[in-house]
Amino acid sequence: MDACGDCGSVMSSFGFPPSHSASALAEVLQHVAARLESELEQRMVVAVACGPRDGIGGFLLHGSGVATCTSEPAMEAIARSVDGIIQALQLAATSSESTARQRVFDVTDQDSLRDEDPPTYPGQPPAPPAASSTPSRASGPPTIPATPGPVTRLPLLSVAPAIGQASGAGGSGVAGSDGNVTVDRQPVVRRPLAQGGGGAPPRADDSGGPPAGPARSPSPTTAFPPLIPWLTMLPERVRLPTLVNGAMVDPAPAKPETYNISDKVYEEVMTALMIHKKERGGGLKARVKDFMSLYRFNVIKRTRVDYTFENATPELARNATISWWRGRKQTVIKDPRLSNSANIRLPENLSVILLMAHTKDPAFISLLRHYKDGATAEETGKQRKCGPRNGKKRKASVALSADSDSGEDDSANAGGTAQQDGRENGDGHGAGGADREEHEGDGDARAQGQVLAGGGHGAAADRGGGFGGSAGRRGSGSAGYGSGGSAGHRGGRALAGNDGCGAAGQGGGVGGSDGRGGGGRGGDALAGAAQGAAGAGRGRGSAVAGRGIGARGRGGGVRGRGGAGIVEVAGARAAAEAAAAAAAARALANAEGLVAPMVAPSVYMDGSLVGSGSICPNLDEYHGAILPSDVVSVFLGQLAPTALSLVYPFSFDSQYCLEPTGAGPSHTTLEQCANMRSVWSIKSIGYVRLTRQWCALLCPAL
Amino acid sequence: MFVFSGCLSYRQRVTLYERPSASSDRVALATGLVWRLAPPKCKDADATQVIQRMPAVEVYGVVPSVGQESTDYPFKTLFYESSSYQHFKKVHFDDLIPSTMAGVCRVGPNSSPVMQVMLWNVLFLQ
Repeated sequence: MDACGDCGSVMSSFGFPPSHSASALAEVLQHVAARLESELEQRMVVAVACGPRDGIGGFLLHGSGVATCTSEPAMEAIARSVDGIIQALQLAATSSESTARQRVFDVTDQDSLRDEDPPTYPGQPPAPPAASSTPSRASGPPTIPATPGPVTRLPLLSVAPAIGQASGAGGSGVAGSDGNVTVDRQPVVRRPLAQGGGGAPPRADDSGGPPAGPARSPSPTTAFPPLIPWLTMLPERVRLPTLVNGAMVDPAPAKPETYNISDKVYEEVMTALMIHKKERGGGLKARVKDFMSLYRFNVIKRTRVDYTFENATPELARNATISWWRGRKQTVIKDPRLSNSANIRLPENLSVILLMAHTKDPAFISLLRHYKDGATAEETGKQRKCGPRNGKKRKASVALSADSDSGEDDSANAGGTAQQDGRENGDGHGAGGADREEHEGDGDARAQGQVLAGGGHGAAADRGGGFGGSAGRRGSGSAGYGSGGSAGHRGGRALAGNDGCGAAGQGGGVGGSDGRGGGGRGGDALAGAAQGAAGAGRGRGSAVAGRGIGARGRGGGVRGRGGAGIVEVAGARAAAEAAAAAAAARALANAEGLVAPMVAPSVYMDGSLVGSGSICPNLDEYHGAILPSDVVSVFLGQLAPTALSLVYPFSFDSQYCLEPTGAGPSHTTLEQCANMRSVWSIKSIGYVRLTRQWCALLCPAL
Repeated sequence: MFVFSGCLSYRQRVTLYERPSASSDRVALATGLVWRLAPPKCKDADATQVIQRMPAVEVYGVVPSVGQESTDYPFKTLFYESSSYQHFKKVHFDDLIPSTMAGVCRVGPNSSPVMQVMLWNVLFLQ
């Protein structure tokens, strides 16, 4: 269930708290969809669009075909959901592969199986596919699960009016004429994992069926955010220990199963994992770690539970025996568990991915697709705290050395000779520097880390000869590219304005032709007093974090890995936040400028303007006395010349006279009230607006 | 002889409508005094959209128009139950937010205004 951010009260119109309403409505609709699926034996997608209604009263459900739905916020909210629902349709198409194959399987060999199997409803864990008794290498084609494929828990998304067009030939007409609830019939489509990663439209199946869905529309912010917003389904997993009679009891072990991963699945998974090998470098272990970080990040974000890697292990993999062939070598993993980056074991983690891909788990398949499209998990907060500001040297992780997958890295670009970073540039000297650099040699599986804590100022960051190109002057700096073989690359540099919101420079770079690139440098941010934007570095060999100068400037989180290292960047996110904050401040200032002419600053007496000042409705006391509801405190600033001699209306009031605790009630003129706090009736408050209207006055005297 | 000169428009109060003031079908619900812009409390990424789509001001001394005292206060849910402006709920109202204009203004038509601050959409003012 998805609701736009600025109309959270839409859900309140159901009579429950917004989150409760969304959950309840989603469950009802999912149940309805599941029943329809079981009856029609067709994949269904249910979508609901909600939006605020202009005018008096609460809200109405919106959707296409609603002639009265002209609310701009509603349309905006709905438009934002187009991307989500299209992706949901793609996901349904992906998950329908197993359903399609199962249907064929039913009518050929196991006609009685369908009658015996109860329909699967959302919320019911999908039955794991039965183990294949013969190794896939011998069987050739991929193993077909003998039980129905997992039912995708489709997110309930808003519907855009143009969704019918957006879904295109996918046959995904969505919104009904009433615009409230739409049930969509999803065609059965095969979509191999290795094809059409991400936004590519799924290919029609061999039977000539229509494509599953349209190409995903580009995201308005980032192409592939770390958190996949619409990914509400997760694999059946995570059975945590429960408290029974005061003791934590582990759940019963899962039923042991044996899975033989086919060569095709293995190749597809490997293709998906290694597609970014060239630009990110590293080996299979690094890729698996990246993927698992992305998986766990989404698990944590969705469940809001800080699961460990082990707890995030899919339940299907527990007590399972997974085997696959790699060339002439067979790998057999029993009871795999995910592990963190420090103790990562490639075969176990890879086996989990292979298993989930083998079982066509929609969450893993979609994650693989997003991973292929470039999605990465951002750095955690703990990693950000490991900067030189804390005075701790951050050691390069030994686990990142290519011990087990060095064979995968033979073509990688031999390690970072990154000594030129920082030192040859002459920066990194002085106080308060936030430089952080990590160097890891990859080719010889040797890692070394170094932190330059005494760094200099961002302004001192010169561009030494032979080093990467120019940097941006203001705003988002552009990445520089070196030309030499050993040239490092420097990211852009952003100079923050006085508002202290500096944009990030995007460091980047490709190693030199000899593969000994010095690595990218993150963008340098010269922050003002408020926030220093982070630098984002991406490159090979080494990385230097962006630096922030200023009271609260900070360098971006950059993690460089040796050789064909990866620089995961949290700075880009910080930069986006800084840019958003700046945009919000500008919007707020513009709105204040819009409102300023409407603010009532004037005081009237008997219908005549006597002055203007600052009206303070928030001051409900006046010299210790509670103000009645018909008066307001006013600081008179300017007085009309003709009003100087007028008498202050509350001159003789014991509580609201000008100085009730001083001179007391006395004859007081408005001139005496100037620049002092006084009390005025709300009836006497108004405002003056300068208009462009010109009036023609006839001056009879002339 | 004609002399052209600029003039100041003196107005006591602003008119509060139930829909954008540019709409031809607008209905004047009340008049009131604008105090200040009500800043939304939301993420920076959303603030721009919120300010553009639903900017709010704090108005006070609102007096309902004749015949509109029983009309619904249009921003009871639009603002006070939205995540961006719900922090004003406890500031402006001690308890429940009245539903009608007379209830939220605490006065009737042609009455003297009282100090009751409430939110109103900037786009609905004139």
